[in-house]
Amino acid sequence: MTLPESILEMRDVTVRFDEKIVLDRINLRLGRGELVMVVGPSGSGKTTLLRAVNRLNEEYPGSATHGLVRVRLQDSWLNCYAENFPLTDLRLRVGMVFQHPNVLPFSIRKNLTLPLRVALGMGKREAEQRVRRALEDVWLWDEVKDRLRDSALTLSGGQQQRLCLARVLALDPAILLLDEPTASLDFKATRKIEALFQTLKARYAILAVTHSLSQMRRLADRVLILRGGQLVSQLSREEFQNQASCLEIMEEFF
Amino acid sequence: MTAAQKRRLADAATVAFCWSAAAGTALAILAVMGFLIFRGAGTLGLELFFGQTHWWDAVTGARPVFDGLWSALAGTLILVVLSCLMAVPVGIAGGIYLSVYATERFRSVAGFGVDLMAGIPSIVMGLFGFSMIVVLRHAFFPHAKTCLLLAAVCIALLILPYLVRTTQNALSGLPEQLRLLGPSLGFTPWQNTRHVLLPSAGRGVLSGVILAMGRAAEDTAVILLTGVVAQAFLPRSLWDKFEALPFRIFYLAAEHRSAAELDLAFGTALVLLMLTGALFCLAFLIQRTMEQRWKN
Amino acid sequence: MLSEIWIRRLLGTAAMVSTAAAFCILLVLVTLALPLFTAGGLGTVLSWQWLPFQGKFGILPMVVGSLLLSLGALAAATPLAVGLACFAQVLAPGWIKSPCLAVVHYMTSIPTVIYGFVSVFVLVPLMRQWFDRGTGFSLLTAMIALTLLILPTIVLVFQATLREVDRTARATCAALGFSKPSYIRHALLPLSRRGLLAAVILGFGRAVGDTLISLMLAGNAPMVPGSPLDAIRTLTAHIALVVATDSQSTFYHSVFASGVILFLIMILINLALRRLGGSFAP
Repeated sequence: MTLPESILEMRDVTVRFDEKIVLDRINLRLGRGELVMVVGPSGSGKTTLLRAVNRLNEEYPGSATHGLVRVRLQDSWLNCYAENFPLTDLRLRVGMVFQHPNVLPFSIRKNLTLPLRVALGMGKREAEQRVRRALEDVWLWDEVKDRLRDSALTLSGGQQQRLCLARVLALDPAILLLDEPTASLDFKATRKIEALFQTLKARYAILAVTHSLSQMRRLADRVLILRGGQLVSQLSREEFQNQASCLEIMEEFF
Repeated sequence: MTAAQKRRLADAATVAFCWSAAAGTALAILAVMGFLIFRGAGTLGLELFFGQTHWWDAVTGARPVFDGLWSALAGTLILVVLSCLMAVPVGIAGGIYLSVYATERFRSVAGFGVDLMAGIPSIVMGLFGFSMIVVLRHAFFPHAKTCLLLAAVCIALLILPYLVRTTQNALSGLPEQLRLLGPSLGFTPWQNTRHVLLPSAGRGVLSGVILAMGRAAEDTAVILLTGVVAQAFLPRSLWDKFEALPFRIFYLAAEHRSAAELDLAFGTALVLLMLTGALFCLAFLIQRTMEQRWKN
Repeated sequence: MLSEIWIRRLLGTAAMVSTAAAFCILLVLVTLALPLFTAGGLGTVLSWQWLPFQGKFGILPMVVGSLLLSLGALAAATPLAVGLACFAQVLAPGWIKSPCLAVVHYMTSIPTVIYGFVSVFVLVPLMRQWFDRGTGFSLLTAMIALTLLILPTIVLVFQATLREVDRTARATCAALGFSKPSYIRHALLPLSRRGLLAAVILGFGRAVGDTLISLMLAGNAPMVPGSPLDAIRTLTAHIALVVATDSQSTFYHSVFASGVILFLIMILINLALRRLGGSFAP
């Protein structure tokens, strides 16, 4: 089986918060068309791992990151933590969706156009085009096309989360970081978004955290098991599709 | 007495005490407000505000008002507007900096300075203003007097710490995820503040501003030392003496010369109570709608 | 981004101003009170007799007045505040709780001058009648009004602590079979001691800093009281009286000394609150 070409690579990445080690020498690679999921007990550093990619850990005081994190954009590798790679540019290319839907108290349209205008400095017409495309990509267009002016808060939980996803996709990222994106949604909404991810992974490289082992079995191409800040195992799809060995592995690590 | 009996007695006493405390306080406040309404409601009307002068002449300043509280009301309103114009931008800016940009260390030091400022008794703030005049008189301006501008500056200093704190709390009280949203989309700190944080916390900041306005309107001690007088009509410039509602109430309580003036005092007190009450209710409602939104 | 840097500087300046202002004010006051220390005036100011026209500028009676009035009001207000807070948090029927706290919040917005004003026409005649001597303007009169003034401050700060403690403690104690009043006495209050201390300290600060209540109700006699029915003068009222009525600069030094003393009390209060930790500001 050929491995997809990687566009994200982490080598010996260690993250500390005020001298306490939260991530310990992490190594991983991620390629376009792959949906890699990170699982592990609470407090194992999963969210910190995601945030190490788009440097969101630095928003907290006392954080220190060592090691190499690099992404491949337009056929050349860029060090995420380099001086000449501005933070804002990095975050435009690496999009993140949070656990709880994070819509702003504006209209649906403005939720999408605001980052385009502010972060990308885009003009009005181009922004409008991207709005439609992004909403279509997350299967929201038909549901909201008649009420783009309504407040985003009137959408259901699942719709809001898809709106957050659309907001990120509109910025045209290369990598998607998903931090337990269906944790606060009901069963139906979860299934819908999972189907969405299956189609999206062809265009993006997706690194996702999940608490649900069944979701992991449904979606993941590869699984990384994190415990106590260390990557204790990597499993391919074949390995954890086998019910018996999967249970064994889970028991060992949890 | 058995242990169980003792406990039942103690329980009953506790309940009785707590209920009495609540009832007593409620009664006291009702008494205060009721007394004012009872004695003051009758005087409410155009005459209370404008005396014998026609209201349009009074508002435009064409004719002075002698027996009404219009000059005092105008003085208070001008004072509130001036002090807020000075304090609100600085307070909100400071609060933003402390919540979004400041390091942990700076926040701690600044927090102490702001808390200290909030704790300064208003009379000491007035004393500070007065001492500015003393200094100016010795140094450059032998004719310096206490005036509207001085009072406005001192009141601005008085309400500044509250504005900083309410702004800082409103911004820092936003859910952690929301605070990370802007940066995750590639926003700079200011873009995050302007497009994400302020719209989301706007109501909390606004309610803080309204509370500060109420504080500015009710203060008496500062203006006592910085230029308020019993009769000054409408201030024509920033360097004039001025009247104010709270001082008028204070003055009339001690120096009323007739029953009519006493009635005027009650009317004035009622007007001030209504003014601060209205501001408070407005701030409270705004704050409540914001809290409800973030609960969901 | 250039504008980003300038915005950061602008906001930072505002924060610096807000932080430094308090220290600047203290500096000005200390500077103006300095002549006292150099000309040996400290002795005259820290003495017991205020007779300005005879050259005596002692403010110690005012210091005593401030302390007695504040501590007295605090002693009355604290138990009331505890009772009220426990009522609001534990004993009140569901529908009363919100309005109760809303009213306490509202009380903080009532202007001080209103309390003073109403007291002059209600409390003072009452005191005159009951005690049959004096003018009705006394330490006791001012204490009663001041109690009502500082009550909401103490209640709100303390209730914030109660709310936190109650959240975890109540269910546990209910499961153990505690009645509500027993729970209050044996669990809730002991666990909330620090919050109470912070609330009391804040209330004390509010009481010491108040001018109008004592100015309007305490009689303003610059002497140490022999009984609660005597008139007293506080440091705050002293400043107001000297500055607002006299215009001779020889009296000013005592006033600046009063200001510095008040400021120092505030600093101590703030430091004490910092030591207690956590944020207790209402």
